[in-house]
Amino acid sequence: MSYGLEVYNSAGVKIISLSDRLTRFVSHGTVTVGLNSYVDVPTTGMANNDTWGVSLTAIAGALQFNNLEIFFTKQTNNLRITFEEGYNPFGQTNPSSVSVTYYIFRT
Amino acid sequence: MSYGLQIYNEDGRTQINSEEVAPNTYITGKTASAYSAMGYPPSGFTQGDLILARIANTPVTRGTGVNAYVPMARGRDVSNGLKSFHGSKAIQDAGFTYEFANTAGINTALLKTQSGNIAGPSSGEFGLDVYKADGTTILFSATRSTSVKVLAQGTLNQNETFTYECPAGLTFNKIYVVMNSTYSIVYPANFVFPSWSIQLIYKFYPNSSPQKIQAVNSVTSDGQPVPGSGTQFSYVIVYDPN
Repeated sequence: MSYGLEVYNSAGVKIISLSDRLTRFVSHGTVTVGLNSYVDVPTTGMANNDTWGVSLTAIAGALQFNNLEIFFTKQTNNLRITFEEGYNPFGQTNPSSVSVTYYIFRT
Repeated sequence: MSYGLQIYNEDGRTQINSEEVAPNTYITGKTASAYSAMGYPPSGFTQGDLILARIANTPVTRGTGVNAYVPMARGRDVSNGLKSFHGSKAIQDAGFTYEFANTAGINTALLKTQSGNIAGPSSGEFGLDVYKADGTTILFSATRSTSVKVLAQGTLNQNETFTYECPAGLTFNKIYVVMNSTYSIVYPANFVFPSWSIQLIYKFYPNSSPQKIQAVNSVTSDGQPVPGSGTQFSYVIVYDPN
């Protein structure tokens, strides 16, 4: 038996079907993460599965000859954003922190 | 007593849930941006929006034949502070002529939360609206929203790729990608220093069969992948059925 939701627009085009994966907005913000450290963003209900989506904007991590490592971990009830030193062949001075904008959504 | 509305799709994924206070999103501000007007972020952007983009209807590609592609990303900031998409005229005009010039321009849009952005229904309007418990904040409107469908979503570590092939039932030019995590910058070799390239990008292949989009996370030096895990690239590919 089929179940779910179908929505048609005024032109008769089906814009939501039974199989669609839709996006739902949860939160966004900007945090400052120290070198070799992390920031936990409290996020009620978050779990490490593919119904949770995260997008990070961390342009500051894109340096020439210094491959800074900025990444996230979906944890129980929080999003962890980590900043670590990476491949740095010419021994450049690392930034003491980076500003990271995060977007959290569900699908 | 619990009350409200929850709707799941065939896979068991939540489509609407009035309990969790995670409003649905909608696509708005669809714009064809010319080569000379590829500013980043696009007009109408507010913090919290996901920035969408797709290739022009008649794209200019890098290369020819079935392997030709259009690289899509946020581009380097130029010296006068201008921020733009990769391939913009602003980047070329700033002297970075070795980077790709997307003379066809791009199409952009914004994915916004419906909460606070969707107006209330007009008098006598039919349809379905779902409100938060406060009774006034719209979480989902079936009649006035324009939802997008998620085709693929994931995270790439450095030197990983993901390829999405457009199925026959979908129109390639209605597929957008989320640009917030992207970045493309190339530093050419200089004196004794090797080239350095950072690519957190999407590649659109309009001539391949099937047409496809590839998400790429790559950092290379002198053309070779650099060690380490680098910065993550979160890709999201969506379809605009509206």
